Amino acid sequence: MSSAVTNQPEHHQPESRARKRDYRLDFFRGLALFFIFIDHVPDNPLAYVTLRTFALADAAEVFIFISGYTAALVYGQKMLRDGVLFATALIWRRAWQLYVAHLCLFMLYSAQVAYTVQHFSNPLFSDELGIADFLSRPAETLMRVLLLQFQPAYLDILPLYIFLLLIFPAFMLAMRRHFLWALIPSLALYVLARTTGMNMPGNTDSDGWYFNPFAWQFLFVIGACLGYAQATGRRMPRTGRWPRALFMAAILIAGAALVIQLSWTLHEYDPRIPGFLMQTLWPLDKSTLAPLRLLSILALAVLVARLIPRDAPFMTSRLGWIVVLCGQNSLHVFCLSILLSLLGNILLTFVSRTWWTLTVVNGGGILIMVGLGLLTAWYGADGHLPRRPRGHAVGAQ
Amino acid sequence: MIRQAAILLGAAVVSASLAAPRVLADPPTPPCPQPAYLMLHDLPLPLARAGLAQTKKLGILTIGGAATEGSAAGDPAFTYPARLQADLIAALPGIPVTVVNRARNQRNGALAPEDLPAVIQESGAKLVIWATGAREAAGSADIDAYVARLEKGIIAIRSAGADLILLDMQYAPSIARIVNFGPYRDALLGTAAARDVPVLRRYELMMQWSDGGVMNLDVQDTAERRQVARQLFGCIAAALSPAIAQALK
Repeated sequence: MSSAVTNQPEHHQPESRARKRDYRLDFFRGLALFFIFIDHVPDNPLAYVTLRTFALADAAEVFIFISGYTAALVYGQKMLRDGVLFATALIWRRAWQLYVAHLCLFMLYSAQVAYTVQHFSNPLFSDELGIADFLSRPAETLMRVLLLQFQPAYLDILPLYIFLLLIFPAFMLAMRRHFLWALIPSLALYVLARTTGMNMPGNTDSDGWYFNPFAWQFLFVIGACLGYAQATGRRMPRTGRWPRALFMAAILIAGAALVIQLSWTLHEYDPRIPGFLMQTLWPLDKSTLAPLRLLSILALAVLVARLIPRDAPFMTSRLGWIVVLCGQNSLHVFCLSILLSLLGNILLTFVSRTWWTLTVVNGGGILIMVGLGLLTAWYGADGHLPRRPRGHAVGAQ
Repeated sequence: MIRQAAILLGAAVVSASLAAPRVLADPPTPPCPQPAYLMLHDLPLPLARAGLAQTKKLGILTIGGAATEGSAAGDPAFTYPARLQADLIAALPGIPVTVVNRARNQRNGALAPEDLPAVIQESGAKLVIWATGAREAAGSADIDAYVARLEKGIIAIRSAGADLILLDMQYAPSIARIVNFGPYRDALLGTAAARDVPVLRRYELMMQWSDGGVMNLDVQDTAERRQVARQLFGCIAAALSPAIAQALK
């Protein structure tokens, strides 16, 4: 599947500018990929130590935000240098590759369902086996799969990314005039999606996509506006009243989110531990990206931007550099991670869930993701791995 | 000293096991271990308690899908509601306990929250045990709508004067490969936690039983399958009954 994807580093900058490269984007996107993999292996105990335990947002928000940022950084420079047409063609080629990957994953999934239904028609699970209804209507199902209307279990993430890439050139054109030309329509779409329930058509008339793309594009476009500012050489002010207020607000929000989410997780297991504000705030809707999820991720972004230098030593350490290289080739690794979490689930349910099978699935999955990240980086740098920088620290910007 | 005590203890265990009569129970009730963190405890059942004090009897209503209906056991006497009734009669001597099962299978569709008060009234139950979420997860139903229906149901049951225990979905390895329960379980557990409704974490219990070799939930042979269903229903009743009896004593 991944071999169908070209080997162009997504976050590619000329050598002379390498010193200015922002490794935080690569590192945290790489980390988000590992978290997404871990979170998507069903009933994975390791998922309790990923971001979703410590914030009101999870790795999906991190991935979409940073992807928006780097998309604008990379394709923004391409657009300025090679023109809108070429930049659009590049973006849409990526969308096509993801579409093909999605169809491959669907084949794997429906093979599993068909196999299960044939061998396992236990009346104890007749409610659950209703999932196989789609097999009895192949004509309708195949059409809906091709139109991305039918997104069965575990396969709802790639369609969001495909949608975001398809509409991105329009936002990039708007950004070229002024970032508000992109941000205001994007906000309007977000508000519409949240208030009217506007969504892409789903499998039935009443359903829409699990990741409502009209809501999630807002986070992508916020990231993109910041990335485009970076691409065109603008810098955020770091001193003065407003940046300081923003920083304080970010600390408050991230801190409150940490306490609230931890208390919720504990309260579910032990009712004697109070779940702070749970009656008021639950549920934080992920489908339409509840405002508190958005605030939580933006607060974390501000904290990282202010507290971690763009080439902090931990990111260019041996281990950190591996994460960075995965983050730099994130689309390949992302597609693979979805496949790996499906395969990991198959292994865990065929063998059994013991500490060692869980270690094999989590450890093996991450190793394979790292392997693909390194391989893609190796292809992209014409047969050698991008050397990790050492020695010179450039302050945070 | 310690060694002597150990030898004595060992001897005692061996002689006790030799002396124990070999009882052939029908059906055999294999142990279904419950880890402490999954056990129900301190169940808040004020309405059932008050009802029991007043009427001197206990009525329970079970609602849910195919697993509550229990046709997989091949005999109504072996469904989990029937086993629960038997367990509670044994645990609460002198108290008439009736468990009314109003489960609906796939063809009949689920009870709507609006219908719950009438069904509760009619059954006279002061405690409702509601298994939910399987059909929604299998049908990839809208999660918001599911949470809304849950909340409506919780309010309807409480306003009908009954306590509530929720059961989350069932686990089987084959099913977990094709149905993504995660978001629906999160929705159910979160809604229950926010509304202070106790939940029997059936999914995790069944996963433990399956992984620990206690029962083969993927079994394909029809006769064995029925046996496993009976064992499972007995275990589910055993996970519920001590906590319910404890809360009412």
